[in-house]
Amino acid sequence: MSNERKPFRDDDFEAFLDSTLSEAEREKILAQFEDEGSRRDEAQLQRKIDAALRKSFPIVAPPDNLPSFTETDEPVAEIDGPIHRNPLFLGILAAAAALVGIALTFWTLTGNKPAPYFKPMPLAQIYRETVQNGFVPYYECHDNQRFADIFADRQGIAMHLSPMPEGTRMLGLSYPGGLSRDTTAMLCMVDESPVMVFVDRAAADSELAAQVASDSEINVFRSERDGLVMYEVSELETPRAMEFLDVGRAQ
Amino acid sequence: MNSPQDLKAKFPGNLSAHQKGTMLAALYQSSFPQLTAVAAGVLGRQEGAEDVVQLAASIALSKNTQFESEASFLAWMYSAVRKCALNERRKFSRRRTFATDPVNLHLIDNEPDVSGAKSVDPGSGELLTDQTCFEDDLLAALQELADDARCCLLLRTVHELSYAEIAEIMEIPQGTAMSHVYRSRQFLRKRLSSSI
Repeated sequence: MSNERKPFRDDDFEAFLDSTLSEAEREKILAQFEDEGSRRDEAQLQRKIDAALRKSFPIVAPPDNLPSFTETDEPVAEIDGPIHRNPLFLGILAAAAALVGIALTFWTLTGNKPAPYFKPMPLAQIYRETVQNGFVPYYECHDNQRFADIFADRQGIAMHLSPMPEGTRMLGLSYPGGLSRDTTAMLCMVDESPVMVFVDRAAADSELAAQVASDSEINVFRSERDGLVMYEVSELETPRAMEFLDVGRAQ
Repeated sequence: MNSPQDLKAKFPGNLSAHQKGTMLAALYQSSFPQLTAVAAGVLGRQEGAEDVVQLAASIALSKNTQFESEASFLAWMYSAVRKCALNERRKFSRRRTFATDPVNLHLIDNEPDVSGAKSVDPGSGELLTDQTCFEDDLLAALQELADDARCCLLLRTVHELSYAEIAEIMEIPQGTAMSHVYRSRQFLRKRLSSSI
């Protein structure tokens, strides 16, 4: 057995930068900085960026001369639709607030941190949002070892990418949710068309995953192997990327 | 911020217009920093953000608005601020004149000793008194982020709001707010790693 520590999970590192980790988790990350100087430098850079943001966008004091919001009986001018007066929307918000209250009570009583809230969502929706946001991966992972480690850590099984044919290239990995909080997505370009392959444990599979609007041009393909479920989402007629994702480490 | 439940409670029916106006004014005052952050996020700069918020407030007045709860007032205001800021940014991007001659900007940017050099806000071209080159680079990199991403980043980093609060202000899911913040930070680190 070696004393070598496992590399950071990217989302743990981001949570560290976001100060949302528990004290014990923070200590663990800080200890790991000894092994990962580049991460330590990244954290220092983030602190510098945060400080510069606070300086460039200071919190402003409200003006002394407040407007007088004396109202008339005229109806509210619509800005963006009546979503906040929709009873269903308000009901959902009230239910969500009640759930948060229950979770916080549980947390207070047991001393345990509640599990982060997660809701499965259609993968076609995530695909559409990712494309709209520029189709940029969260992590441009081109290191075979790291690639395998990420799947081993998140899905419990290492995976590797077999050589892809001309016209198909892997851009990197993202962690956009979908089936579970640990769903890993591989972003690819196939014949200049964006393709996402979502991978998770088969146990996390959800009927919501493959939901696509009837008039959508997005196609969702599913396969299952070795306890994992994979979905390929694209506007292509056939799956073109998931076949290159194999269980195990690269030889 | 007040709890969402408090804010969603409807105003009592017997509240006079004056009493209600006073309550909304107080709410406007307490929310002013966050409203300004949203305006700054859409504009990509702090300058002009307060004017945008005050413009949105004046529209709220001129439209003879009627709000049934504090939550509906805030939702209206945040939405109005985003739209006003977007209009302002469009006007600004069409502008072709700057407060400082671009030639001078070039000279300033090439000062060999950057430690004491006055730097330039790339958004407005104006000189700020104590701005460093790193902050210049940061402001430039921020322009490459989407409006929503900038707003989420500022609300989280500067105003230290929870993701639930950010989601409510921006009318987006919490996960999307978190994703905006994480990706923006990652992007900025990548862009600014050569600036240190």
